[in-house]
Amino acid sequence: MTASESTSSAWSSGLSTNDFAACLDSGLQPLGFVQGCSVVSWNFYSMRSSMVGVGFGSNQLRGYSEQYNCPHGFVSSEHRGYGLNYQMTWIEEAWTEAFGAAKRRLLEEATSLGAHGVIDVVDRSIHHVENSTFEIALSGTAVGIADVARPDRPFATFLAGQKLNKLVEAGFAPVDIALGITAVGVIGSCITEYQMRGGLSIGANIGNWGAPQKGEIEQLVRAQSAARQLVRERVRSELGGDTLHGASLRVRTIDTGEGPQIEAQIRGNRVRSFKAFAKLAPPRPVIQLADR
Amino acid sequence: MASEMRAAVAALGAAPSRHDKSVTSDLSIDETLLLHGMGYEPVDLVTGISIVAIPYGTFIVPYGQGGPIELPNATEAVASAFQSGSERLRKECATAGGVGVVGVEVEVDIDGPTASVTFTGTAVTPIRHELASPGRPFVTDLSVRDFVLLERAGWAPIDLVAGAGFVAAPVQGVRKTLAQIGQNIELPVITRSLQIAREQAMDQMQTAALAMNAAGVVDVTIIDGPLGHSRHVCAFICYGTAIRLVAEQHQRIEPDLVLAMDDHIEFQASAIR
Amino acid sequence: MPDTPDGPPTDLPKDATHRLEELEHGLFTSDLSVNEFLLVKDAGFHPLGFVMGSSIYHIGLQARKWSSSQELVNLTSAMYAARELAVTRMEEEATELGADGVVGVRLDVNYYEFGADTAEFIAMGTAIKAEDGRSYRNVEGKPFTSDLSGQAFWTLRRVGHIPLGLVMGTCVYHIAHRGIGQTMSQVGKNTELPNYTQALYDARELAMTRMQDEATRLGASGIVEVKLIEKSHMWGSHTIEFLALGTAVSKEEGSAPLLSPQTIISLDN
Repeated sequence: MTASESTSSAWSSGLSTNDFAACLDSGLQPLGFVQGCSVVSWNFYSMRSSMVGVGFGSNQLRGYSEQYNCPHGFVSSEHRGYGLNYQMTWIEEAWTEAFGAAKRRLLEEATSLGAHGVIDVVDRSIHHVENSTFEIALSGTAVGIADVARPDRPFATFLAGQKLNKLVEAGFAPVDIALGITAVGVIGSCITEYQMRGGLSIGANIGNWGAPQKGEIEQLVRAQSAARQLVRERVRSELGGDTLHGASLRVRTIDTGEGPQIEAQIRGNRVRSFKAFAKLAPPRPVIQLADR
Repeated sequence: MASEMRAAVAALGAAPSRHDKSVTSDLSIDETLLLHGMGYEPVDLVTGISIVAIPYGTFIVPYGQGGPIELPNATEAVASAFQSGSERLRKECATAGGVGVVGVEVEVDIDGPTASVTFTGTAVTPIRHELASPGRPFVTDLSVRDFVLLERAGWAPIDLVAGAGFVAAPVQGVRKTLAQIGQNIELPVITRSLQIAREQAMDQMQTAALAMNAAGVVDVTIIDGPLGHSRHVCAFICYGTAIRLVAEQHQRIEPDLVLAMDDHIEFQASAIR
Repeated sequence: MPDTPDGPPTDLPKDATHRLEELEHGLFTSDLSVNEFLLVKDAGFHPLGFVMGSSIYHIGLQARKWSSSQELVNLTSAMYAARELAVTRMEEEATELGADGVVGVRLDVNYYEFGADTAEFIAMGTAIKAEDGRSYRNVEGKPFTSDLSGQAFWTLRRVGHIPLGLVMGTCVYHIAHRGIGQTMSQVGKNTELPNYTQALYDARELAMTRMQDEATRLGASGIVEVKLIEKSHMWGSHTIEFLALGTAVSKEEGSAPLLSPQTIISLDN
């Protein structure tokens, strides 16, 4: 990959004018618009289809998993004998690889421009459906600062402008952008399925199935909680004493037809305390003389 | 400013100090600073979720009934999901060492025979830990900005309070009334159903607030309308933050007047097709 | 840079000349908001009038190879030339008014029923002139163009920069289809596809580099508010236009430092 090392001496930046002004104010000099992307092939496949001919307990199951056994014994062939919550490590690996590669390229471009860091990073994930490919594209503005040695590796942050300045004034240095992904798949046990249908039995009917019609659906609650728990642990394990700021947790549940698949994603700014937290003057409460 | 930025970049070479513990927070830097200004800091991003079953048949209404029919099964299911979800949130907050959760985002989803309620927020703690009271963590859906303003005025949040009401408007009643189309008349059965659902939910919320000696409920969010999959069922869900006065009396804020010169015009990439 | 079609209309329409004459008598029209108007005045400029330019262009198709990723040079030239024509005509209107620059430029593409593959490219904005009598035209002697809002223009002036012109670079790229054999061999693997990565990467770099070259020609010290826009227009999802757009700026001597803003907490919802 080559950075845009054109003959031009002009830098370019995706910064808004306000962010650009704030950036100059803080001594950061924009050096160029930098980007990095990675395309991975994207094949959906679940535990079930990848497990043809393979029983449980195979080493395909890594990470979190919980099995829910049927308490009824053999009832009928439609009656599922097991239920499973399982971490879809292969999905996490694809995402992590793509994000890592895109970030590495972004930082390589910044390094080749002699930058200290990259600010105003924008991340996009694009599904090129026809190709069944999936792209992570990162872009940002490489910046340099006079009279400071370049860090071993440029810093990166989603922030820019006054927000970045305030972060620094408060005593935090931007370190990196962080992304964590976890996917958990659910194969509902007979009781879970029964509850998810509001107590309508499938196949052979056996009394009240030992499950109340009302109340929590334990397996789903466990899976949803586990996805959120795992993704936070994953991000935290990479922080090494730093703080993750402005983290956003996004969870989506996809109904695959074979049961719910839960994808949890956290992204945020990894920052490091470099001096005692400085207290800012309390803001003035104001009311605008405008009707919006 | 420039010297601070230089110090920050220069500090990147050093490893994070050993006694710092990793913190994840979904607060923006503005919010962190505001929170810090009142002596709090974020400790962790916390969540609580509950998914409950609504028994099959709850939304099926016997044909030919006269008046509105209350659906206690659905009402109880949603209420219990709120209860267990916020209990889990509080537990995570306590485990993380927080005294309360701010900026809680509440998602309610009723999908056929299941109802789920999800809470996501940031657990906070006083910077000087000895100030942390060991009591029950507070939970609020107020943003940090609102939390700070309330505190300035002498108020504190106690807990999220919620209520739900589900009422079915009988099918025949509606059909009969619609047969009279051409006359502009009120549809009394539907009006009544909606009223019942609302009153029921608001009543639950208020009862919950009174039980915790709250002085009021602010920032109430309301979700209402027909249920997606059973459009004859009127659903009404409300939740808000119960607050109490902690200062001796209410402190006036006395804001300044400003004139903003922004238009909030954002470049629209969609303009270029 | 790209080819222009035969016999482009060079003169402004009669009505335009008439409209512009009226504007020369002191009346101004502008799509600036009141806030923007006041800030442009505060920055020492006066609005002269609303200016626009357009070009109806026939964008044909170009043969693509199913399985290889490549730039579609003819389409790239067409997309660039059409926008360039629209912007140039807008500049002509502004020059007619004696303007120093045009702010708040919007670039639009409209598809009419004139015929398949025909699109109108429009550029419009507000022409402004400095009140201190200095000329702020760029090295080419033309009024600067910029998609900055009135607020952004004010801020830019506060930190001692002047816009030089709207700069753009475009690249229409065909992203290869994957062969069936290829797809099959990758079933069950979510792995990186280096060819695709490289193709998308190259396309964006081409657009960016072309934009930067324009800025260099204007003698810019930098480009702000760069947007990278990806659109498939009417070509289907494998052919994508990558458009890089920004405002070239240059630094002036003796810039005043930005005042540190006050922190406020708004009580409005």
